[in-house]
Amino acid sequence: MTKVYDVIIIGGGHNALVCANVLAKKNKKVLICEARDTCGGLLTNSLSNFTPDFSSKVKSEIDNISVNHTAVTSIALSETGHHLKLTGNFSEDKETLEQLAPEDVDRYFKLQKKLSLFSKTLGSFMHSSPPRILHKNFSDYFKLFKLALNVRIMGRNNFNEFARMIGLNIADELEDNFKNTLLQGLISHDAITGSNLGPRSPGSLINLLFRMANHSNSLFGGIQQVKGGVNAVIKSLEDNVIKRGVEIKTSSSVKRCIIENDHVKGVELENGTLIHADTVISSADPKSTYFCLLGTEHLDTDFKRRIKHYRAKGRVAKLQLTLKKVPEFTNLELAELSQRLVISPSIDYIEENFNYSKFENLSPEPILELSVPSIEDDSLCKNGMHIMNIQIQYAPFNVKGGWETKKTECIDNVLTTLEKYAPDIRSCIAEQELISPNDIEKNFNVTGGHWHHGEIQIDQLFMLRPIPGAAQYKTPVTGLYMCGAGTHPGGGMTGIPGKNAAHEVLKNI
Amino acid sequence: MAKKIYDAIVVGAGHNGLTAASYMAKAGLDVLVLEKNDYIGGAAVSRELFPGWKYSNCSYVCSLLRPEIMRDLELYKYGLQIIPYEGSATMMKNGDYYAHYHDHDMTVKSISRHSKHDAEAYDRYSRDVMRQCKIIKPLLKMTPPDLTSFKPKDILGALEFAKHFAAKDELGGLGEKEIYDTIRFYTMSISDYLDEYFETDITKAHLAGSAIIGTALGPCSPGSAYVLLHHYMGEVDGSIGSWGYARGGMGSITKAMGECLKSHGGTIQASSEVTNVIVKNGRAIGVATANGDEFYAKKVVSNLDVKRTFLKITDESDLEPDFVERVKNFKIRGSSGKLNIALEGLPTFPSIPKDDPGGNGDLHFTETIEEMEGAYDDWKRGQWSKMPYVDMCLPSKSDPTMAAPGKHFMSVFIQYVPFELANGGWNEQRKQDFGNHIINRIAEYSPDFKDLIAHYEVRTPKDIHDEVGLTEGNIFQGELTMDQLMFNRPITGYAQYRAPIKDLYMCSSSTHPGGGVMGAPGANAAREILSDMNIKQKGNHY
Repeated sequence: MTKVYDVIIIGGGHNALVCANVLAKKNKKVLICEARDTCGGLLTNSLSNFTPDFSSKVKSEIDNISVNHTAVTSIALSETGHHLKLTGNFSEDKETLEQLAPEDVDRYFKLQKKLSLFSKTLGSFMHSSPPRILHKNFSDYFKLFKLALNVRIMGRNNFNEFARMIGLNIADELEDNFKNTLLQGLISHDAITGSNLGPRSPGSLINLLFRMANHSNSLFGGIQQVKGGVNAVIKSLEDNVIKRGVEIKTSSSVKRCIIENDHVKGVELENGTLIHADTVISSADPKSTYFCLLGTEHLDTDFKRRIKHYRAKGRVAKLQLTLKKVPEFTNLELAELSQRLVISPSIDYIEENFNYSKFENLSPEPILELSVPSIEDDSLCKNGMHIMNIQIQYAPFNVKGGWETKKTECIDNVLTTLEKYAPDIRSCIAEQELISPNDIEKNFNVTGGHWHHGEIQIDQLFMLRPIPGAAQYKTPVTGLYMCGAGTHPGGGMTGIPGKNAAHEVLKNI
Repeated sequence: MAKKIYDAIVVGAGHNGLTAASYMAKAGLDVLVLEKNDYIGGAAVSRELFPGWKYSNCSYVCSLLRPEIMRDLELYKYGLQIIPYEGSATMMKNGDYYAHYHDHDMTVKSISRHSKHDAEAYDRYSRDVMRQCKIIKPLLKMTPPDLTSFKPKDILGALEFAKHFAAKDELGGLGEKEIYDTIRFYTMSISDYLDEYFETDITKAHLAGSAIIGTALGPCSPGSAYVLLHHYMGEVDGSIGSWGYARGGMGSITKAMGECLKSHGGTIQASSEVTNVIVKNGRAIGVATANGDEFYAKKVVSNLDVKRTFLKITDESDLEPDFVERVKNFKIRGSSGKLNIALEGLPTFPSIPKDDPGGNGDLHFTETIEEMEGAYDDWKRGQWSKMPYVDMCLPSKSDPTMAAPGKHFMSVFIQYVPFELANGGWNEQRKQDFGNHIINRIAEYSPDFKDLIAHYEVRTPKDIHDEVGLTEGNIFQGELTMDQLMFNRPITGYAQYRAPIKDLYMCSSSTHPGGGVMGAPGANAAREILSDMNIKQKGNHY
């Protein structure tokens, strides 16, 4: 065995980097082993369009991150050309809605206020490791009590409404409130992105609240673009930890964890190198962690079964187009193309898409979120050409027929859909690259290619994430922890799982 | 002339209305039940729609009716008899069949014909689901606590609720793992839940049926696992999860309740449609009927669903606008239809061996979860399912009183059928098309079926809405989703059977614990009313 570290972190995604940063600040000697040749994991320019900023609670625990954020307007495209543009700014949005959906204005702000309050409450649960119930531990009871109190202090009506909303579906709430289908479509889109739910599936509302909690508790306010793309965020996180003395080994895939007497003793790399440490933190998804890194021989049957049924099948694909020229969108100015454009004109449109995806089929008219970020940011151009990032929902993992044969069809569906809004799109394309959920699994080592390392649904959230009994960043093996998006509170560029895991580790070493 | 003032008036003589009325009458109140139809029973009726045959033309099987209620109201004394039936079977296109039986070992043996793995998993599955049944049982007879209240009664109630959720691990004590399992069970989709146990399509499809009956959810919608529990938590003769037929049709249940009510001095008046709750100084003081009569009472109890109660028979001006809006947003979606068929003889189903008891129970022919989910997709688009899930049974096989010897009554429940069709409303033609579609589907599995039909009745959600009075024809009087269960049912903050108007109460299936011929909402409501009147009930289980 070679050099001795306090902590080895498997994987170099943003949660791993945040975790390393927090640990390094406490003078722990940390090694990060990343299988790919760069850090960042799923947070890379080819996959992530927009990101929220880190929350202040995460920022206060890591070193300063020097990137420039610019707020992005969300534009719901309409075939009629009456696009709906929302920024999260009260007076601007009010003006927009008064023109396009006059009947919905008041209700929109009322709903926004209500959801914002609930997402804040939900957000207050996110920053510490979830309590265990009936664990006869005072601090766990205290946490539970605090949670109940947080919900209760919202007041009687809000409490009741919160209790109702937890299990509600987004379509019901929107149809009860709004007449404008474009507005319904846009909000529903945000409620189902990244998940395997349709707008009419119960639980889709909590998905939206979860998203809002990571986006400044606002429906459309916290969505931002970073200069240089998300790669710049990763670069900054990386610089910080290196300054703190953290070692990063790229192209060093971990083969397995070394376990002796139910204690972790270090890791073995693919090339056979053994590295010793008494604490190992995996930022890989739960299935990879337990089945590949740990090995089922260290788990009991019940545990194994639960991990096996942890739901993590990705439903999002990414298409990147390199453009000979910028396509012309009906009724949109050039500058607006760098904003967040959403093609999801109604709830029924999404639900119909979901119907295809349920049976692992491609929809002929997919839901798209796109942007040409290089208009605002030259550094993102590819060979001097603009790029268009398109996120395709739902693109099922293991699509029927297999992605190898379905890719062309999928791209064609996307372009046919886009043509309705940008008739000249096909003539603008120089290159195209589609990344399917299966590609994500293969290239980024995320089982199922799921964005959030697992569905965001009540039975996989909070003290049940990833599975009950192992939700406190711990695993059944002493010294082995988890810090990825598969742990509480879940995916998205938040850094919270990494931060929380670091605290849990510090408590124990 | 001063009009008589009753102690309580119950609007609607369905099984919950009659249960509430009987409990109140038994406690000594002077009770009047008003019913709009010329027969009582609501959705639990036996009607002779074609001479010689009795039709359970709405609800058709019995299991959920709480045994405590049967005992308290002595329904057996008034002629109620439940005949348990033996099993259930799904017929397969390849000529095979898949059956469950009353006997656990026989079921395991039957499953192992299809998959050894599933047969083994079935032990684990029935243990886990049975545990959920035990957890929910005591909750059925509780009034949901108001979680926002700081009254000792509510705080104790909340603790009591929590205690039941936490209790009952294998040794009967508190279990952490069990709580997590319960949370998961209540929020998962049945498809995900069954995936954790079984590997074969037919096993999953057979079991998932119970999770979609009556709901506007598909087997892949989160929350559908709870609906399964809702159909499993009943019991016949102490055997949890069993189903049976009420001898003489479902009307025997309400008939026995009516007899019980009368013997305690209560009155039932049929053909009296209540059009209005009379409210004076913020109190409900009586009701007015369609023919202009007025009846007065100290307490008015509505057995109509929450939408009809507050949007139809209550004046909107007597309610807060916020409350009215929440009632309007209450989800009550028709998704089921029925075919009630009088048969000249017993149809044969060649795929099921003649003497197999699995054939005596409910019969199905949906073989995969995908097919079910596809049926749900049709419904979402406003069409009846092309490949519907059906729940067929022949009560006359076990109950000779349903039809003349040799003749049979067949009840066919169909999931999914929309309340409104995408291509316009229901009309006679569409109703016939729908009926024929189902008959043709059944005939695919029974060659002689069509020739035996003497008469049949098609019931769409629209018919149930119009005739029985269940809004949109929803059999549960409100969707059984998390946002409408327990302290959220019917409206969060009003889950304790009391309406926002003083002296007005709700006792319908729109309230906790929800739909099914269960009687629990009625019994719970009666308890709350009596406690408001400071009357103690003696010797009752509710």
